[in-house]
Amino acid sequence: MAEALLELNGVVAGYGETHIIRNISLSVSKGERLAIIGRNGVGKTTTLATIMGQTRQHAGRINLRGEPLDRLRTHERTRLGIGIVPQTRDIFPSLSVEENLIAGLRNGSSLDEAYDLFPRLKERRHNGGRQLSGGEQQMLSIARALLGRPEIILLDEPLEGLAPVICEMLMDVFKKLAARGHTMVLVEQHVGLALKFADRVVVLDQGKIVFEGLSADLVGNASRLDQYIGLSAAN
Amino acid sequence: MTDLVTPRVSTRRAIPLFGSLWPIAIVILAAFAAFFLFPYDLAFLTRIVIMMVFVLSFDLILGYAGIATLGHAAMYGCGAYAAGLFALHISPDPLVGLLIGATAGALIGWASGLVLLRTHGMTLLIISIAVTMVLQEAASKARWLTGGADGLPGISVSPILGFFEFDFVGQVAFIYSVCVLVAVLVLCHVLVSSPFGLALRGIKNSASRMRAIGTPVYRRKVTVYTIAGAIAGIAGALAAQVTGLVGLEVFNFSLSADVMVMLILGGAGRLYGALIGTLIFMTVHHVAASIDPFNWLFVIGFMLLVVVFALPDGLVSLPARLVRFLRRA
Repeated sequence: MAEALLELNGVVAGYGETHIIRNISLSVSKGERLAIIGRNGVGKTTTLATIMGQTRQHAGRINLRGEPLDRLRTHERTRLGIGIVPQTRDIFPSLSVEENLIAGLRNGSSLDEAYDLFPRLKERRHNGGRQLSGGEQQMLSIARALLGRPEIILLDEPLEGLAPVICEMLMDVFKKLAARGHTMVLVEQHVGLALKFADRVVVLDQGKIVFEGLSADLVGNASRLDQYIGLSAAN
Repeated sequence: MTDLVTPRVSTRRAIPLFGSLWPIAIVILAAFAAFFLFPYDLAFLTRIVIMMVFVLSFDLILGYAGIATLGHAAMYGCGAYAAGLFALHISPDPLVGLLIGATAGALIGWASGLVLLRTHGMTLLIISIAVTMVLQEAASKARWLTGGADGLPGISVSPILGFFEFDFVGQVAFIYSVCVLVAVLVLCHVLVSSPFGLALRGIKNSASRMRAIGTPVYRRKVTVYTIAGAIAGIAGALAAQVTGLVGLEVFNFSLSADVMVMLILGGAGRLYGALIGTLIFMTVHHVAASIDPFNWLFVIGFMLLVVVFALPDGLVSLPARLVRFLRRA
């Protein structure tokens, strides 16, 4: 079995006293592509936020390369090699594209890396963050996360609200990143795209893991998908 | 669904127009003109320049990092007392005095920032006021050191660089203050244009986003608070050297409030807004108070209302707004 890069053992977490995820245990190997899917409100985003230290962790352990993360703050986790592309994209509206990218520069990374991956951003580098389309904002959010030189990238619904052509383009970028050796955790509502992309899949329901296995086990298995996610997803 | 094509294309530069250095040349030219046009008002002009330095320091924390406090006088007051005591007991050298003022301001900024910046919103505001009140009370009680309510009188400094002695008219004091202002302005410009400055703007936008891209937000805030403290300390030291007196009013709450009003009036987060706001506030204050000493605040209040509603980005945004209006017309 490949070396585990990120491990969650019996993690219970939420906001304040509320428990959103309950007893989550999962492991992501180096270079692996893991998809986390499930209905709305089952704890997918909370799982990623917990890995980043943005929620209150009530129980369990989170390890990165075998070292515990639990006592580390968000920025320290980022600096250890975890990058997140949040659902809300979180670009800085008052900064230009280039300034947004500079804010994310770490460990000797350069703007050219971002512009090579997304030439569109180079064209728009002097535009303000609030002047970008949804697709461009997503590119900026991904590029900024990559400039931190993360070993593992957490993608929280990166395709939400985007046109199909942009979704395809971004999926190609994710494949390219995976081919470069990045470990990727993808939370996505587009179940078909997520299963096509990932090696392994975790299905959450009411804060618990209800299925963990190979993506291939779920692809084309409409009844199981319907059972876990609902009829519309299965379709 | 959103698409890739965005109709509006801006030619905004990565570093905004006001981020370039030419406004500094305008500041120098304006100071030069004021020196010759108002030769009998140099003492008042010097006060404006000193206050500009102070408001610039506040712009770093409120305008760039989004830290709203009402206790900025703490750093100014400590700088003033430190420079005053240094001149009275150790050395009358004005430049070393400025350094001492900066150090005192930075120290109080760092020490109070370590506590203050763990809080937010109303708590932060109240604690910042409390810090200033504690310092004022301490200065009042330590009569043996600070002179208590009588203040520190008789502060005199030696000629600047050994050549330029402070004169009765205030020419040297004005030029000295303008030189300090320009140096602080250049420093602030470099600071806000650096990645550190971008991080501050990012923190103002959203601290949680900055944490998620690996920025130690608390540490950055303490750093900028310390730097702002140093600059406020310089302003305090400059005031002590120019007026030759330091009193308990350097810690007054009204001073912190005035600084905030000046910055909002001029425009926060632009550096030059701090200069414009200070100039307008102090000039209107001076003129209105000389016409009606009891109701001058009405004019300031009215002006602030107009700016907040009509120009939320402050007076510094007026030219751009006028241009946009004329283009539309």
